[in-house]
Amino acid sequence: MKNRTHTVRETSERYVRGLLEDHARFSRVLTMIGRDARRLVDAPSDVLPLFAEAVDYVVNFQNVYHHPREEIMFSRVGEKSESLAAAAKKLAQEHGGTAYAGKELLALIEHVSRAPGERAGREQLAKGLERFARSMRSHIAQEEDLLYSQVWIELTRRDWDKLIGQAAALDPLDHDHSAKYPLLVRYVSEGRTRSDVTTESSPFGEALGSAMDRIGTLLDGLAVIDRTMSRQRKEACALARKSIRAMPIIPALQPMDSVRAGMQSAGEFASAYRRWFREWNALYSRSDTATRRPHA
Amino acid sequence: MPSIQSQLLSRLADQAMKTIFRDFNVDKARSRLAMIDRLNPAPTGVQIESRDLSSCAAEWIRTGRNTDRVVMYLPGGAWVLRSPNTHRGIAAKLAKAANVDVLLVFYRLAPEHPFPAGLQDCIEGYETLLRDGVKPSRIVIGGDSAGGNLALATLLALRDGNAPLPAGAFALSPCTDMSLEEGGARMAMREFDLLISEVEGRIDADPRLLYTGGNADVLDHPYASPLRGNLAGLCPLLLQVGGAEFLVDQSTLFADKARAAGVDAEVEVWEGQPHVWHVMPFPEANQAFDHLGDFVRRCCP
Ligand SMILES: [Fe+2]
Ligand SMILES: [Fe+2]
Repeated sequence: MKNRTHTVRETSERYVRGLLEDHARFSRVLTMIGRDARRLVDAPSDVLPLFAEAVDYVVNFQNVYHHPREEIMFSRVGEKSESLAAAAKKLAQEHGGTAYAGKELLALIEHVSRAPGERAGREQLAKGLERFARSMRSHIAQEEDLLYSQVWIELTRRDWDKLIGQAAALDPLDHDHSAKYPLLVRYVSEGRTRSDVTTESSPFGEALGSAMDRIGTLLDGLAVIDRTMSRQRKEACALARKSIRAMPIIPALQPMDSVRAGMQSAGEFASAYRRWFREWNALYSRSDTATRRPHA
Repeated sequence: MPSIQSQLLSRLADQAMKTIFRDFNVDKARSRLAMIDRLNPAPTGVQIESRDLSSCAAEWIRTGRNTDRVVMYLPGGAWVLRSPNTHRGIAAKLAKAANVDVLLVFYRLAPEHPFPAGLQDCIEGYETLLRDGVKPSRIVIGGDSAGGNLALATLLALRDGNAPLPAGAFALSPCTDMSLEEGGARMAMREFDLLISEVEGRIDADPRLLYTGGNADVLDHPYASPLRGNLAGLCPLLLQVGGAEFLVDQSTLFADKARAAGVDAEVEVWEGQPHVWHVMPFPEANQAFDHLGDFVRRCCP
């Protein structure tokens, strides 16, 4: 019995593994949409041919090969497990939605390649692709969570043998995609070391962006001023301390006390220093000891 | 063009980073961060289970979904700081986006436990997963900032020790190079590097020196500065870095070097984003998690 369960698990794992590997390939295309859909708006000629292949691949490969394999599995699971029936039905229904959205995207790509100057069409295509990627991610995550991980418990070896037989008959795709999707195959096999990811822009966003840049420049400027002032304050303190030490004792120099008190805090000191300097300067300029100014 | 949220907040985040590092003090930074971390609510929709390692704490963050994929996540914090709730939040988002269970390893921090204590804990975290029966082909390791540095260093150490490598690794805004050698990341961005301009060489205020126990020679070691190492034979890598952060070259140079060594390495440079924007309430954060989810799914089908 144990052996038999193991075989069932192994068989189901092989079947499900194939589906998971499809998801892994789709994930690569979904990331590509996230990275490059915005480039369709600003530099369509760079990426449009690649997207044309990618969408064609995802839509056709799913419709012809991936979804049918899932659907025969989902329908068998739905028959055998009450708890999984609702999820299986919902996910199978979503395949119809994906196929429809995919056809719309292919038509839009066709339109954009015929009228590349139309910005609105390119915007619509970029948004459509991002929506498509979002719904596909959520569909994939639910399949993996709710069904892929559970099916082996619900189905028997006979079920799996039947599923595998049906799925083999369904495989019409020539697996050498390099002829049909040369750009996509190159993108997927070679990857790209660096991708610059930009996100959606709007006139308000752009205005805000430039305002924030100006605020940023202002903040940076204030930080420089702040640092300069704190350096100058330190220098002023050091100079003042030196000057005070070097200063001759002149009984008339009453403001010295206020300077000493001001030393307690640099902020207070700066104004105390200025005040003292003014007073001291005024005093010295009247005095005949002017040549002994410590700062000269 | 970055989102409105990002444009409003990333400048503030940038200024906050500069303020923290301009006059870095471990005790003050820890207490400030603890205050911020308390404002961060614990993530919802996940179960948190403690799974302590021999020298440090670790936690499982699980969504309750059925999955056998595991991400070992190493939280950032300049090797000396910790904000557990913030990183539980990252782990929860990752768990949902990638359909994984996340092992969050709270490796030991400097200066109390200098290099290589934290790295040893990360390696132990990975070994623990293997001992618990998780296959390397089902594990992806990752981290942000200093945690990204440790994720990459862990990979180098595992490769050098002939251990089975995980299926993939990612690093978010990582520090990959702490040294000042010619051709290094820090030399390339000398004028923007906060540490160089502000606290260079001050053992009490330079997180790099706090991490290495004041030993400047260690900074060139590949386990401290992975960019300085031989990167051949590593698993697939994804780096994500903000276009507005001072660590941007640390990622691009690393990806270039890894790719030249034959590694499937990619870097995403996100326009206008600040350091580890993943923790911010930006649409770009969700999109970045989507890409991480795609990456994990690609590494562990
Ligand atoms: Fe499906
Ligand atoms: Fe599917």
